[in-house]
Formats: sequence, C-alpha cells, structure tokens
Amino acid sequence: MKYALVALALLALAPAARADAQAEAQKVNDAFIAAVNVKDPQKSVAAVLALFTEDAQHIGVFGRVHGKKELQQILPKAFADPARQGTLRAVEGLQLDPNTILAISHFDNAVSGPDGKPMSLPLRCTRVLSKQKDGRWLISAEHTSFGPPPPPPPAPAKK
Amino acid sequence: MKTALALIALFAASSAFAGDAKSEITEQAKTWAAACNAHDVAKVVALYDNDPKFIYAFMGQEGSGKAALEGFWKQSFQMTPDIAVTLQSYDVVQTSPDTAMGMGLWEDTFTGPDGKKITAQVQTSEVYVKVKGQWKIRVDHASFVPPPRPSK
Repeated sequence: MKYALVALALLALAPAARADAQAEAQKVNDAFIAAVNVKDPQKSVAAVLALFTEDAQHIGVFGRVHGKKELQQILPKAFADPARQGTLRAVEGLQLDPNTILAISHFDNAVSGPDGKPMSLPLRCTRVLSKQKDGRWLISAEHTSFGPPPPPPPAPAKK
Repeated sequence: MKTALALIALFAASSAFAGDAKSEITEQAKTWAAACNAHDVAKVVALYDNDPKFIYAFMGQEGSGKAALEGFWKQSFQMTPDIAVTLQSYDVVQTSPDTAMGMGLWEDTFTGPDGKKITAQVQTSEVYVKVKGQWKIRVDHASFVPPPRPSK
C-alpha cells in the first residue's frame, strides 16, 4: 500500500516536472532574447553572459567556444551590429533529470547584411540548462545553427 | 574518521564515474562513426534513446522519433551511397551523473549531384542520457563549421 502511494505521488509529480522544464526553458530563452535586444552593446553582452555558467561550452555560429571568458571575447564584435534584433519563435523544454533541462529553441536573428540592410537569419539552438545551488537555471552547453524550422505538421483531415 | 573515509570513497567514485562517462561516450561516438561508415541504419539508430530528436542543419532536416531517424538515415545512404565520416576530435561535458553533451568535429566526404567529390567540415553536439546503465543519444544536432573567426 505504501509503495502504491509513493508510485501515485511520483506519477502525479511527473507532469509537474515536465511543466517546470517547459517554463524554465521558456524563461531562459526569453531572458536570452531580451538580453540580445538590449540596445547598449556592452550591457547586452553582460546580460547575455549572465545566463551562462563559468565553464559553459558553445558550438555553432561562433565555432567552438570553451568557457565564459572566451565567449566574452567574441560577443562584443557580434553585438556591435546596430541591426541586432532577436525574435523568439518557439521553445521546447525537456527535463533530463532533476538538475538538467534540455531546451530546443527557434529564433530569428536580424543582422546587417553585406549591403548594410538588415537581414533575418533563422537560427535553432539546443541548450543544456543546469540548475545552480541558488535555484537559477544557467546555460552550461549550447549548439546554435542556421536553418529555418521545419514546416508545421499537416492538420488532421476532417471526417 | 569513518565519515572522512566515506567521503574520500564517494569522491573517488564520482571522479572515476566522470572519467568513465568521457571514455564511454567517446567510444559511443566512434561506434556511431563505424555504423555510419558501414551504412548500417539499425546500428546507428540503436545508439539513440527511445524518443530521440535530431537537427541536421546542413541538410535542413529536423525531426523526432526512432522511425523518423531511421527514415532519414535510409534516405541519406541511398542519396549518398559513398558517404564516409571521420571523427577528428571529440569533447565530452558531463552536466550531471546521468546527462552529458558530446561535442564533435567531423569530416564528411561524399559525391555530389554533379559527380564531384565533396568534403565538408561538420560540428555536432549529442545530448546523452543514461538509460539502464547505457549512454544513449537524446538529441543530435549537426551543422557546418563556420568560417574561421578573423584574428584580432
């Protein structure tokens, strides 16, 4: 009986964990986009860096980056672009374990094109979010790549 | 004293565990390369967990589920029958006892539609989860290596 109650409690907690993963993934990605969109480039870089762990790993649009210090050296140039503007399109959060969430996001990143005019780049990102001792979720590893999101699944046929 | 010994044993166990994860996952990456080079779809798909997600940015593909993954690789091997991959380097970042991210640099070679040999530098990240004591790929993300950053 005791085990049945524990099992029921665990089952009841499972959807809550998933909901938290989605909410936390959304929160971190919203914060990332808000940080990218801060007009002052220095403040924008600082706000973005605050979302990463000290030893965060990046793979993708900036090549391979080891740690926040290396990221700090790269971001100022990219963030000097006055056309910089991020728009979050979609986020999916998956709880991998109590202290790890995987976030898959799609967002558009506006940058100055070769002709000086703003152009929009569709990006997708997989992020590993790690729970810190103070309860915050920070990005410990990420992979960003260019490419539009897949088309939405076809609507179910009406009977 | 007993507590101190227990702590030392725990520390030693966790260090050994971290080391194991790195070598186990690096071996998995090598196994993945061998399965891919043998065009063995079943062996490739066996390295993923039951509900994998994949993002292959260089081919504009994104999907989830073992059936979709299997379909993708079957089609890829049909379209590029001479595709071969070479693992150039592999890092493993363990994010918790049961999760890790592998980050690889690969060289892919295949014959393009015009008959010319193509060599592409590809970077990948694989999010691994431990399932019944075995590391399985939960999310696989691959993209082209961007051009080198200009020096200062």
